[in-house]
Amino acid sequence: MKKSLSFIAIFILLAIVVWNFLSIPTAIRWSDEELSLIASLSLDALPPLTPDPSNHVSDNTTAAKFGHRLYFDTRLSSNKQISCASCHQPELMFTDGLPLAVGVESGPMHTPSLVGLAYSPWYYWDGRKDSLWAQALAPLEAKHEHATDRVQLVNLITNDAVYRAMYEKAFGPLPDDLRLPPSATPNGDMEQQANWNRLDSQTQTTVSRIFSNLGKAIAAYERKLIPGPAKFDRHVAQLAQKTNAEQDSIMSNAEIAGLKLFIGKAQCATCHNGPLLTNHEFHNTGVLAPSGQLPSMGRYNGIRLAREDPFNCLGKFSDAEAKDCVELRFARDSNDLVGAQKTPTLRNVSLTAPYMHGGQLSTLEQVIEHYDKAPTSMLNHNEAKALGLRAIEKSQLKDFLLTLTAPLAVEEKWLRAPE
Amino acid sequence: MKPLFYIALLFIPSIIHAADSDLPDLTGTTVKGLSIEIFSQLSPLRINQIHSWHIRILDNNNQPQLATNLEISGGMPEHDHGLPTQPQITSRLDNGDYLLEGVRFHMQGLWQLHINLQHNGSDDQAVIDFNLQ
Repeated sequence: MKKSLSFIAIFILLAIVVWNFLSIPTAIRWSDEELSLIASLSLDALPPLTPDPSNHVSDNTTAAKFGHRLYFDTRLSSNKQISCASCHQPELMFTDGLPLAVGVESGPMHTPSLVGLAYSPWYYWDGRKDSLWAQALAPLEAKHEHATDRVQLVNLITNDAVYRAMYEKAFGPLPDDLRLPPSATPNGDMEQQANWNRLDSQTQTTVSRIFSNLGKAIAAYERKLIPGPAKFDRHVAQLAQKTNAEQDSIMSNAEIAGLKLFIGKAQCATCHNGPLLTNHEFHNTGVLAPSGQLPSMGRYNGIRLAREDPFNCLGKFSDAEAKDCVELRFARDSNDLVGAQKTPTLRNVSLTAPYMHGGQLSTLEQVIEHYDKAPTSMLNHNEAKALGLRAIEKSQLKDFLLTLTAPLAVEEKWLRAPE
Repeated sequence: MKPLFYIALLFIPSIIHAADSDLPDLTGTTVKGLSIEIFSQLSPLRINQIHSWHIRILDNNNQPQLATNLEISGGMPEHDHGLPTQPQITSRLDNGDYLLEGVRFHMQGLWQLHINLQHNGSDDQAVIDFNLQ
């Protein structure tokens, strides 16, 4: 009796181990529907970037060179130590490797990658900005990021011969008669706001227009940060040329099994779709708030901020006509957007740890574990459902995610500070 | 699970047609028997691209009908969320079609559209289910 009980126990244990960890070495055959979905994830399906109608210099090389210089310049901060590149570091795919961003002070959110971001209609985790240029302006004045202000920046541009020349080449002559205090903005501390309120409205508009042009130049540079073809993309190109039976070697069996899970059982491609592996939309996936923070209201607040933003597509600093601002005009308000954060790209995900809007999860294993469990959300509801992945499947999924890493499709000179 | 999915598809009343300007991309019928034909500017329909629709409302004699308070909403019942945008009727075109602007889908899978309108002074509605690949 005792012997047979032991035998049953060992058998059950063995079955659990086999179920969880043993890969079944059968060749994966793709259905036409799966092949079509896989092809839609490849960079070959990425359309050319269209000009941003709200930024008339979006594809202007002169503006991009100017923006490149601004991007790496630490003089664009109160302590002269922080540039855009401090948090969006080229060597980490334009992230910083930290849970929460650290500029002049520590911030409340995780630094997202800038790679491929020009394709997105919304910026920030909560989509509070509707263009790359409007996004680029906010950190310059944010107290925890660059902590400078628009008047300080206009003074810098007008008084620096190199910048003045670059600005005027891209945007036309700067006014000669600007009489500005050293520091002023409508968004700063009491002194900055008082200084701002002492300026007449025409000067305020002139300053804000020059400020917005700095954002447009930085955006012209950031639009160059396009992902390059990775192992996964080469595999898809091969799939298109070979039959199911011939498929081999670019991706390993484990990586291919991970791809099968990505588009199937694990449901990753539901939101991480399209060639950039993001739908650029907002979802509540039950991620806990970072330690010490209240849960973020996410997109619920973000869309309100975007509508109020003077630098949005419909604002006077935008170059777009109202008909071009379809995303903003038809953006949705809804209670189900409480706690919803933007889907990040998974391109180069192996280089952009930690993960989630507050950097709450340190590793890809933790991310996969999070989605496998689909915990209850602190605010609203978790859109994701528990997956019930086996241990071997989690490992295969990670193997697939590692096939998405590749150098950017951009000349190397744009990935370092200009000479 | 998979056979169930395909059986469910059999019950979906609408059909997504291939790109062809003469054929609607989506069709449906209201509770009171009006036909709804949707012609998408983006055909075939695909994810992550904002676009417009022309919506045609026809009676039994295939005549375009005047609808008031025409509203479109929708979402993915399986994921408990709505459309990513808030599309709106912005004009009525010369041929009687209604122009719906601001349509975007952000996920592949089963979508459900709710169309509410008033016709001849009474409320009417249609539900259109479709699978977006």
